[in-house]
Amino acid sequence: MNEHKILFTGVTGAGKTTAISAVSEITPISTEVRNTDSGVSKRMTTVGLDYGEITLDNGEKIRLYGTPGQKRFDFMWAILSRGALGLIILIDNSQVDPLSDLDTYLTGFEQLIKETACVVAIGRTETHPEPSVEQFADLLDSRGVICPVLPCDVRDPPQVIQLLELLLLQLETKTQDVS
Amino acid sequence: MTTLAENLGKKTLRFSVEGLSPRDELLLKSLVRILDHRTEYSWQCISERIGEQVDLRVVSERSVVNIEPRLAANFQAVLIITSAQPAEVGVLALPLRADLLEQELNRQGRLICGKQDQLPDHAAPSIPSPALSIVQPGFEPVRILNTSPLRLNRWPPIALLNSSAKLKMATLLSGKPITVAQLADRANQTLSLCNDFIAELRRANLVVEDLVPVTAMRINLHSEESEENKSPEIMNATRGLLSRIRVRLGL
Repeated sequence: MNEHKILFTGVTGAGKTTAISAVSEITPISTEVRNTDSGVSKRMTTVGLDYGEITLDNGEKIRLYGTPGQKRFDFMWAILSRGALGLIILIDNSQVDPLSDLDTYLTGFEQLIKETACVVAIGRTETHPEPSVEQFADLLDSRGVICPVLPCDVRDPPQVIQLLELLLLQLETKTQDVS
Repeated sequence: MTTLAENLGKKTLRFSVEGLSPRDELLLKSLVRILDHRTEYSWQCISERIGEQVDLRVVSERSVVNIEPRLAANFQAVLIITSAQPAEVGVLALPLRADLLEQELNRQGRLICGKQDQLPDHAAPSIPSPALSIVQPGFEPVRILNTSPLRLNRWPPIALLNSSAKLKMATLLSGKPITVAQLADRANQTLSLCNDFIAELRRANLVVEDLVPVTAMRINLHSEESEENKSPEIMNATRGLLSRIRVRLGL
């Protein structure tokens, strides 16, 4: 049986585990440990990955992976990228330098983004409106990437489904013939 | 035996109807018959068969995507019937209005006959479609639909994406260049809405016409080369997979 995967990436605390929980039909499996990073205000943090899944009507599985957020785990990004359908980047706008965070993921997943599809979701914009969505779009533009970038609250499942739909739309366009 | 049209000294032109609901098709044909004594040309409806030549193709907006490649090759005249409010000539809105239909039939007839008069008698001309902005010598270049593939050159400001439909349309425009008709089909939106959205993007300089081959386009999100190397079977399988994911997510 064929298996496929979609990746969620983002800094620690951006909501990867929450986003996967919103659509996974199993309770997400997370390899979380007690957080010892004083710069991050959460008790537990993912050091390996999150995993959830969706079963399609023909039995095929869509595996949802949340990559570890920290840059020091970037060797896993390449491993997880192999054969992935697409990438959802979750940005936490309350972080010190969210634009730099996005830049890191654009570099770390450059090949996957070129070959498949990508959506950038900006979280916590209600409390942290800056940088604006337009500034993220500017950064994408400067990196030669044109993809959806929008505010998103991953605690709201319909918003997570919307991210997936935008990913699907891009993938569907790629499989259409151009007249 | 002479036809009524011949008796009236009118030239007979043939049209086909594609993609309309049975009710709208019946209404259209009835109106054309009723208007026959008023129109400058006599219009005869024929069932479209493969290889059959018609002077005018009356199509629903949803059929535009399918006929577009054929139009590009054959340059046939087209009248588009839309459920939206048409902003330009060459397009009629439902419910049909007899006066506008008469006007459009006369306009199309003049264009068709104007071109036929320039051709040898034995030629079976296919006519440039004003509705698709295909400009040929002797024809008035009337712009109705943009047939040039379009793409975003940058993701639009959030103020321009104030609805789910616009977000989807922008996403579709972020990949391979597509025509407005293709955009309408894939976003499941009316041509009118798509045209309006494209106009907004144009005003903000966010969309460009892409006339270069797809493989030569700017590499952004999508690696076209890798897609082209995929076999039709793989592409079909991928389409099937994406469709099943949609169903599973309730989209």
